[in-house]
Amino acid sequence: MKDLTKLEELVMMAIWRLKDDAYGVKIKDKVKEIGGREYFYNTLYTTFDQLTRKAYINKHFGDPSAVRGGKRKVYFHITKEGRRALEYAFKRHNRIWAGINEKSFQKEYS
Amino acid sequence: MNAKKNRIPRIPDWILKHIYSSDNVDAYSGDIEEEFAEIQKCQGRARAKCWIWFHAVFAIPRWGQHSVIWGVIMFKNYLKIALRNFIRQKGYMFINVAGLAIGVACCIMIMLWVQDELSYDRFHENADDLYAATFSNGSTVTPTALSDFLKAEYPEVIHTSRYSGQGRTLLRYKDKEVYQEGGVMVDPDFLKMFTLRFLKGDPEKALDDPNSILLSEEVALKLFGTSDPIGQTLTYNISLDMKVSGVFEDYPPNSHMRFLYLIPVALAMKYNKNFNTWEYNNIRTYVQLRKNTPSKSVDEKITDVVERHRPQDQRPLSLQPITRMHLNPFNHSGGTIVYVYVFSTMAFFILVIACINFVNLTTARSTNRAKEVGIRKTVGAFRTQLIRQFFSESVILTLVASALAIGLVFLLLPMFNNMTGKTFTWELLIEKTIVLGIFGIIFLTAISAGSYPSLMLSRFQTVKVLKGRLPSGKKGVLLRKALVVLQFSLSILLILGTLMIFRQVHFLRERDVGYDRENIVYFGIGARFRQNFDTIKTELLSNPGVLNVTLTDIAPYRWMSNAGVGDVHWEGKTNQQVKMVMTSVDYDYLETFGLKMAQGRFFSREYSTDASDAYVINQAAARAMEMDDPIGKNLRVWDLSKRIIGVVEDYHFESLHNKIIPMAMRIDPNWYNQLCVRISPHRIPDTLAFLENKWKEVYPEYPFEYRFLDDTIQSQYRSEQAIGKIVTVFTVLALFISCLGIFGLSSYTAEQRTKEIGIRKVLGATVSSIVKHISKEFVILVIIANVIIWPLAYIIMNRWLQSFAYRISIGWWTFVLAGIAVLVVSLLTVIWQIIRAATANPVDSLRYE
Repeated sequence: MKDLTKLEELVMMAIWRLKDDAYGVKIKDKVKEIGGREYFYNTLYTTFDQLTRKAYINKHFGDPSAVRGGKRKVYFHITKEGRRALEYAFKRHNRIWAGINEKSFQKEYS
Repeated sequence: MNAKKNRIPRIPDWILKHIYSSDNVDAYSGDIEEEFAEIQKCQGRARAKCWIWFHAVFAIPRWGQHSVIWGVIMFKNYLKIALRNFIRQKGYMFINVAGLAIGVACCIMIMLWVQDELSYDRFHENADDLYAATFSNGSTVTPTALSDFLKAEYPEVIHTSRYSGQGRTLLRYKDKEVYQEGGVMVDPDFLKMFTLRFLKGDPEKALDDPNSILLSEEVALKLFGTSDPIGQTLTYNISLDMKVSGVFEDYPPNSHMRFLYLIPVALAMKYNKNFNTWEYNNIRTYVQLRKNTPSKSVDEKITDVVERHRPQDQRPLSLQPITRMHLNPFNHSGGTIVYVYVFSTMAFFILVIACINFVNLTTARSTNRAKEVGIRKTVGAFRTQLIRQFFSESVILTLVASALAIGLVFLLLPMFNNMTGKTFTWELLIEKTIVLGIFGIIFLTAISAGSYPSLMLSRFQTVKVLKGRLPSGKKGVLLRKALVVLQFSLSILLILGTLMIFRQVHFLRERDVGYDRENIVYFGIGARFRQNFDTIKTELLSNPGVLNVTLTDIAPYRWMSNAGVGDVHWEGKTNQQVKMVMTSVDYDYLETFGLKMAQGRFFSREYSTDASDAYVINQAAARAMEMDDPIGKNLRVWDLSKRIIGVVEDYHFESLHNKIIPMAMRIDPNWYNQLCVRISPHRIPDTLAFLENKWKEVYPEYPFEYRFLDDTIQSQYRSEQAIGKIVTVFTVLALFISCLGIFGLSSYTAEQRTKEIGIRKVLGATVSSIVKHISKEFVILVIIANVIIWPLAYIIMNRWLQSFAYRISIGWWTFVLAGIAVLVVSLLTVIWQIIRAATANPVDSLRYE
């Protein structure tokens, strides 16, 4: 299994948390909220494409609306493989950071 | 809400849409529009616009990164494939690259020449404000008083200077004597107007003293060596003491002016009270206008200035920019504007021919690449990518060719210098304008040579190509043929031009000038010779090598005039306007130059009145004055009224560029300037030695310097000869490149038709019939090219010949000759290929059928 990049991880977590409402605008907001930083749409969409290619997410089309200039939304979902990849990332993350909490950093410098 | 008002701004939207392309593009732009609408609703349209612009602009770098990486990867692949192709088709590549390289090298060299011609006099800081007063006929010989008048009367004129060349003059410092050319008389303003680099001395007042002299580095070195010349006194022209007030860096050669030392005009005024008058019409006048003054506005005011003061001279006066002086055909040292055009056209033609080669060979070979295109398209190449691929191939080839071309230029530069008489160095190649020019040439070549093949190759239809049906479209073949015709048309045009130039120059050189110009030696002389000329003459004639001796003011062929006087009156004059030149001759003039009389007699010592009351005119004068029997009629030129005693047959006292104009000769020893001696052709060295001894007796203070008249005449055509040489070389190269092209095409044709030839042979065709059959195609093309270009060539050459007063008739045989020459050369080029194909054993070519 290939490692997820930080951005991929971020995007997948955003999609996961948004559940059924995960489409472009919302994902961008969520990524900003949890990642602390705004990304360009073309960056995000490139990431969507990558994740789709790795089959970690899939998509379905929503209805077109006037406010979107008559264009359909694309909703993304985490696939089974995606969930496994997240799980792997989570475990790995925990292993890496095991035994560390916020106080650990303060100790080092005092 | 108004729909238009809520619309997303078009430019950032366009950008955003183009930097992301995938299947989700719809959703992507929908998202952008949704967020835009949201921001617009909450924070206003301005903020929304800000947001989308920010997005559009800052998203570009990320996208660029992405496409560059992929671009590089693909480019590596293109490069590999291109290299493989180059190696597989060495011969064609060589032809392609060699043709282009030669073409580009020619272009660069011509550009060097043209740029040099156009750069004349640009180095003056005030170049744009400097003008020379010029008459409507192109003459810059103006009255001496004009300079002061212009400066005093017109506020736009801030500086003026006269300029008068002094010929060879003796300069002496202590025991060092130099017989120096290039002395020029100018006004002090001259130093303010023109850019002269002073090494020593003060440019502000260097010429204020009438007896000061400014030396160039070269002359200063000759006279003073390493010692400081400033303040030293040297003897000018034997009797005048001049103080050296400055030394300037040698004046650059790319100027219409040439001088090695300067003396003030004030000197001439000191000794000649009549110098600064309107009658004295023998000097150039330079003018500097206030910055940004249009010369047109001044032209209007000064147009009749000379006429106001000299009613007999009605030529309108105007200002000619000094940067145009060198190109002005009236100027004898240059007048090259025609050749600037001719050469630029040639460079263009050669480049076109080379590019056509490239296009022809690439498209002809395209069938070999068809499969590659098919496969690339099948695995998903876009057409733009294919265009990019083939275009970059041509760019690579062009770059290689250009590198070779620059190398060639380096190698050939000494030869080119030799041919043109210029001194180009390799340093010139890194000058800004030249570098820009070279890049321009390369760029143009790459675009014009690469665009058609890449468009054509990328157009192939995948299915057809992969099925094995080769796109041998009739359109492509037709286009190739049309291009070959164009190539040969241009080559033929160049050949015709070369032939014409050579024939015309030959014609001028061999034309009967009306007098015997062989074995005539002439010297410039001064007053002392004039006084006791008769005794000197007897002494000279006592030598058997001396056949005739005469004196005149200007030797034939040394005239550079158009400067006839308009003030001519004669018995029975009605309204004709006649301009006449006047010359002073001696009694022996007729015999010395072998002139013939048409009517009457020449001057003779037996008639005492001849010295004061006799004109001999030429036939042109008689014609112009409409006199059938001019003998005994009265003629007045200026205030000199004399009787006409004879008419001499027309002879070319000027260069053959000019028509023979009316002329009157008189006897007037005061004007004698040239001693002309006809010597026996059998004892030239002895006679010259004898003349030198005699010269030393009479003129011990001047070195013995002589010239042969026919040498002088030859030198008049030197520029034509040099041009002729350059034109020939480039024409040969153009033809060579064309031939390279059809060589490539014909070998390709032969290769393509191996099977056809094989079948023909099996069915009983002979080698000669096959050769005839295939070469016929090329012959037809060459003939078409001939027919197309002939009328155009005729028009162009006719116009060029119009510039000569005496010219050849064009003659149909020139065309035929050029046509046949091209035909033969092209046949020779293709025939070898075809014979090789035709003599091949059909078994080999048909084995696999």
